[in-house]
Amino acid sequence: MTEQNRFAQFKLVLLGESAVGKSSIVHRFVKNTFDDLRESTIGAAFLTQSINLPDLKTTIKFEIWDTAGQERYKSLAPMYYRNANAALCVYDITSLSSFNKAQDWIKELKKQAPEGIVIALVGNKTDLTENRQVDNDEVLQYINDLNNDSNSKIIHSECSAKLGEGVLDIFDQIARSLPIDDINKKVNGNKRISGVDLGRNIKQNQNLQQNNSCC
Amino acid sequence: MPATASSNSTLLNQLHPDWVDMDIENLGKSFYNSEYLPLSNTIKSLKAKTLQEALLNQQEDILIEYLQSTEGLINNRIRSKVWPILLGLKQNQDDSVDLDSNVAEDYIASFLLEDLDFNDLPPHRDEDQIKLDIQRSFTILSHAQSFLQQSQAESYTTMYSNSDIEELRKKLMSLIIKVLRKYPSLHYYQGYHDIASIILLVCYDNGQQSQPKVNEELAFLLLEKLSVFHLRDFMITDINLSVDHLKLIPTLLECIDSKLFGLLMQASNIYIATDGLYYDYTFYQALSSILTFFSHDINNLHHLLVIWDFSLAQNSVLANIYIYVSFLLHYKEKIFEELNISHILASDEDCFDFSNVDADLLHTLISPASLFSDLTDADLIKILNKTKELIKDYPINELENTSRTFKLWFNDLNKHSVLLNTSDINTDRIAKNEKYDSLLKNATHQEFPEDLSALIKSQDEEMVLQTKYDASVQQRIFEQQESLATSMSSVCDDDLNSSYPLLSSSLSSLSSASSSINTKIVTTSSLLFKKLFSVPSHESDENKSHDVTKRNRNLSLFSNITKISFTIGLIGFLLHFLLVRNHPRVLRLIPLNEITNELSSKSMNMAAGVGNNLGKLFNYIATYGVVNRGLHMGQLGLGNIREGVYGPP
Repeated sequence: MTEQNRFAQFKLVLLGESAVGKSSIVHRFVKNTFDDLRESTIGAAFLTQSINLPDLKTTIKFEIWDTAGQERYKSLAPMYYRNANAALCVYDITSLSSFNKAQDWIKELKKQAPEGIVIALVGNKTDLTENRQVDNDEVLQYINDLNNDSNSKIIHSECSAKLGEGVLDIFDQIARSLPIDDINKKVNGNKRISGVDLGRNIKQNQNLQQNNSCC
Repeated sequence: MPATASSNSTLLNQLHPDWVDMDIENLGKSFYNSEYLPLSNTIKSLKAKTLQEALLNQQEDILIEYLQSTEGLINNRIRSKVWPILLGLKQNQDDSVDLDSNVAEDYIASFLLEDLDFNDLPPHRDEDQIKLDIQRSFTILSHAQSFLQQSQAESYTTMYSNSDIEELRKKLMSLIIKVLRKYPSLHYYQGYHDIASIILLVCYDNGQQSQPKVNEELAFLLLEKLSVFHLRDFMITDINLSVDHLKLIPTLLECIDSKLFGLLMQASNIYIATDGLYYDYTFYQALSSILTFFSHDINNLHHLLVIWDFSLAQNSVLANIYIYVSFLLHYKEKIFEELNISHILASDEDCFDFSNVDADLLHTLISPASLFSDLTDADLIKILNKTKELIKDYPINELENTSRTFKLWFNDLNKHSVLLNTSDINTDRIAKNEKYDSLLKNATHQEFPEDLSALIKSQDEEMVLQTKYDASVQQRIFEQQESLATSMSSVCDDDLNSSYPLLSSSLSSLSSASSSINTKIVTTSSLLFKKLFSVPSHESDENKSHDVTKRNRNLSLFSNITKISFTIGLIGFLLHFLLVRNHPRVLRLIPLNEITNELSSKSMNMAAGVGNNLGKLFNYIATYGVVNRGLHMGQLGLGNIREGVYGPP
């Protein structure tokens, strides 16, 4: 690698209960705008945004899949996280149920998502702190327990998409946790695979590759 | 429908003797046909007048013809009268329609909605979600400016104040809850609230009254009928029936436009992941448009309502699928241009190289946000006219790919889909209404209150079966890949002679798979191909390369090839090559008979010559591979393949 800027591309998926602010976070990150009434996402929305990490001389492009929160659309989620490099599990700090839901997503990701996926647990709506239901200490305890149990490190952060506080920071943290060097090679090979995936393909391909190399 | 058009013109002539001087033939044409310009205000008001006359005289044929014509129903006052007719809320009623009184309410009285106090019904399980969605509904009204400009002096130009919108939200909530509490077996989905909000807007009657108000009863009846008859597939337990609907978009395009279809396949992950050898027709990009009758994605209310007029006139949710297809066709040049592959459109060839297409950009270009962004009035007229042609020229149940698409997903797997009964595009509107009226709970049909929930139950069961079926198809592909990988390992390790039975057994297991034979052959040959042509060290790391020719020319493969039976390589390569070359029409018409014969003799020669002859063979196949006539792949007996493998008897 020369001194020139490196470029890496990663898929990121947002998961979380309905109306916790997934789309608002994305829009704050991508367009730096906020709507009090962002209409419900149906199915999934796709956006991209790049960030620079000057100290690492790296530009990272996020391909962001913003999913619908309604339980009904849950069965579509695997297609979005199946080949994602990072996942944002979002909850609303004013809603305990949304925090529980975010934990469910983390569980599911640990079971089903590709190994090495970077997971961030994000509490949104810190501007509504007077209605806070999710205690930050409890969240930290949960994260600690989880990180002690396994090798993975889950990123945790709170933000306000409305005020624009903490949003960029989350993506920055994620970018720094991504395996930039490892994946650089892969990016080209994977370039044409967009975020929707079906079933066992990853496994299949792995098998395929392994077996291929025997000849 | 030229015949109807001319007969309607005659009708119009009788209705409006004063129109004779105005060249009614031409006027008629501008309503129906290819004058792709928005109507002038004069014509608009004439059309509005004619529509009102037709309403008055209950000439539904004229109304329906007009709905699908340029500018649709012109304004919401007419809409709120005609939509009920389209949805079959009013049949054979004797009371005459008088536009100057509050007609809708008059005939709705017969439905005695008051009998149903929805507050007494148990809450629907999805009500919390509904509240969340309604809080952020009517964002379309924040685009008020856009339709203010569009619609000039029409009735829905009313500026909605914040308190109006709050009021509308409350009414929206009660509208949705009323319908869902009445039909608890229906599931709410995000997007249903968009549909309900459009109905509410159309029923927003600010006509001659000082106090504008929503005709809530009418809104209820419209939404009720729409839900039970047309949206039902989207409201069963599982979302995958909605996904089946979306599959019909590529299904249609496969028969209409092979280049665009070929491009769409590049947006499919499974297609890319299997190296272009398996395609499942899923098309998630259109999900929000299809689930919401476009109301989630088209911000221009005027355009949206014209689309609804058209769609409701077809009396089938399938119309929206055709509309989406028509949008894709309309913007085809633009899409290809943005992807920098315009040359493909210009080429006459039958095979296209999409390998350099930027998948992200492609996804964006075929998604609603991009597709609908620059829509003009004139575009929309063209698109809807084209849609009409498509519906006529490409009936969904008569497509050449139907056995692996529509027939499979609907006739075989989801027999109770709305597309085969209450929203069947081929069945007459009135017939449907009469036949399935008992699905609606109303006074006259109290004796069958369970019909809808029973129907939904069978749809749920069908979906469970489809899920199993889909899983088994995937499992079979998976197994096939594994077993072939295994047998190919043996081929590598073992003596040539012992590898024959292995190959032979994987080929016979191919034959046992009936419905997925195509896929299997495809994946089989792919694996054989990959096996044979992969270079052990660096190339296998590089995920999979898609460039067939590059691999073919790679010198290192020659050493591989000579190790293995020549004929195995040939057949694997041949199948793979042909299928890849033919991918725009997956697996159709491959002249395997001829090719295997030719190849058999070729391979005999080459078995002696080895090495350099291979290059010739590639060239030979390259020129031959594009030939598109011959046998249907699905009908190929394995005899042919065996012949190819073992050489001529």
